[in-house]
Amino acid sequence: MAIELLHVMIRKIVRYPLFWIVSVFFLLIIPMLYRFFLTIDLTFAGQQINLLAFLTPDSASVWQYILFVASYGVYVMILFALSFINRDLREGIWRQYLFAGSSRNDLALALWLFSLGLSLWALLLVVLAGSGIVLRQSHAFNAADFIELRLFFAGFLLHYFVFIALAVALNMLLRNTIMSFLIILLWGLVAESAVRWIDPTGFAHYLPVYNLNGLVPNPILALFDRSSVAEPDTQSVVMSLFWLFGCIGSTYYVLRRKDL
Amino acid sequence: MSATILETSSITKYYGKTKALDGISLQLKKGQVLGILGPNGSGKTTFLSVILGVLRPYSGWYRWVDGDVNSAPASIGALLEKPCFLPGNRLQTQLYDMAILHKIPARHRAMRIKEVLTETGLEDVATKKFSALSLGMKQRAAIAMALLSRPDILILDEPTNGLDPQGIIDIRQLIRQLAATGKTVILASHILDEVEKVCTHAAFFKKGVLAGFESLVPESTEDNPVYRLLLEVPYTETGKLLECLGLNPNCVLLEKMPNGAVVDFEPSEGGPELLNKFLAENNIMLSGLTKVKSGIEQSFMKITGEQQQHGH
Repeated sequence: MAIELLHVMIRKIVRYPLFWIVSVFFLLIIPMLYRFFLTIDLTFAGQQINLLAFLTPDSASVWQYILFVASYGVYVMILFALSFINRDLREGIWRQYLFAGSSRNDLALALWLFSLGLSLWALLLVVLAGSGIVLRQSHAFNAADFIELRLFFAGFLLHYFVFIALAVALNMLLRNTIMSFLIILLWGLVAESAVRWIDPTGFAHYLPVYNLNGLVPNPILALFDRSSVAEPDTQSVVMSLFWLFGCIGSTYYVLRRKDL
Repeated sequence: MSATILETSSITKYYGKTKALDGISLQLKKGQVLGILGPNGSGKTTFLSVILGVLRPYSGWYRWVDGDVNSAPASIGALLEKPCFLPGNRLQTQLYDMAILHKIPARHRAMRIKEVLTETGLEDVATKKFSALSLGMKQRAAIAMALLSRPDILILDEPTNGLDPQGIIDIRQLIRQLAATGKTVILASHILDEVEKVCTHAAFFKKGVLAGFESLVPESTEDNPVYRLLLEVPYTETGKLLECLGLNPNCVLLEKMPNGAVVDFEPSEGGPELLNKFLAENNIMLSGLTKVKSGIEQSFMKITGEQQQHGH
């Protein structure tokens, strides 16, 4: 039944104008962010480094940087996901799902599949936007980059999946798009950084955003350090999976217990 | 004896500290049309929401035929509170979505959607967006959605809300047709007349309590029809009438009145004229003999009145 639910969700997503607005926005914002980030000159070991010049010779590095920049686009996808889910809840569509024979387990499963599907869609959009950037910078399109960067791409996908699952879990408690989005945004960009600033070595390392950011590390910093392809570190992967299962479990629990 | 379709036991539901349902226990049998009556805020919709699995009961349980405890049935037609559609989507598109969930084979979906739209008089607005429909059409659309999977169980919460007189007649006719085909229907309404015209049984809700449950029609079978009759005689003859009725094995006295009685009459053959003949043979001349369906208004007033007295 969850498959039929997902089928119906996909049909509704493609009819939802916000989905296409978000997708187009996503395609446009990635090159813009990419260009913006590259105008920043970094100072490393007393040397001023121009990022554009630094990245130009290596298409793999460009891809890494695109993924790093696009990882911040997760907030756009979260906004869309919450808006889509709450619209259905508000209009009683989930009730119809129940009347049609779906169980609450099916609803929970469909939500996770929806989160995963949206993450895959984001990855596809990034690949499309990234291909444009790579070609524009006169790099030859090199399929081997995808193999070399497979762990980085997987990290990006997991980053989106966990982040969206986190937002969906929170939203199932609050059932309010703006409130849920603002909490995720403030936590992701401000609150968790503040916690890490207060306690840089302690439990802050186990908080979600720190580990989710570790899945898509800034390739420039990694290149300075190791002169090799940056990869998600093991702790980030393990902790992200921990948070993913936590979100899945709490969404399932809330859906089982709460009124619809 | 018909099979039990739904059984509920001591269902209680709170909204915060407010008790919305207080120990609701009832049974519904296959083919019955149950009217749930009660004023606004009496718990009708909450009860339907609980047995549909939308709301979780605080305590108590319900079980649908062949289902697990506190689980909604596999497939049900339901209209709860308001029509559940996306305003910006076309009517037939949304029905198509639900047809997928109901696992109607792809090759039959369009035909089935056309059928329900025709049944509910919406074939001309199939391609319109839901937001463009009138209130009455939205209500019809919700009924079309409920009928889509040809469910054996239909739950309708105030189905004639917003309908014009012809719409009300059509919907009542539709419910009667469904009941005649053996479907089980639960209808919540605060309109006594509506329940009386359509339902076989009535449950009276007041302040979250099931204040009464009664049959609106005699328990007839095809072979042995039962007639509910109002027998009227002059005041002085009432005692004699009651005495005489006690002698007739096919008669069950339901209510004594100052000038007569209400009885269920189950003749082995023939109709109510046999009772008239029997009474005449016993020197009782009726001043009136009327078939009655039920005294739902009286029952409602009596039940809710009693409740109010208990409250004081």
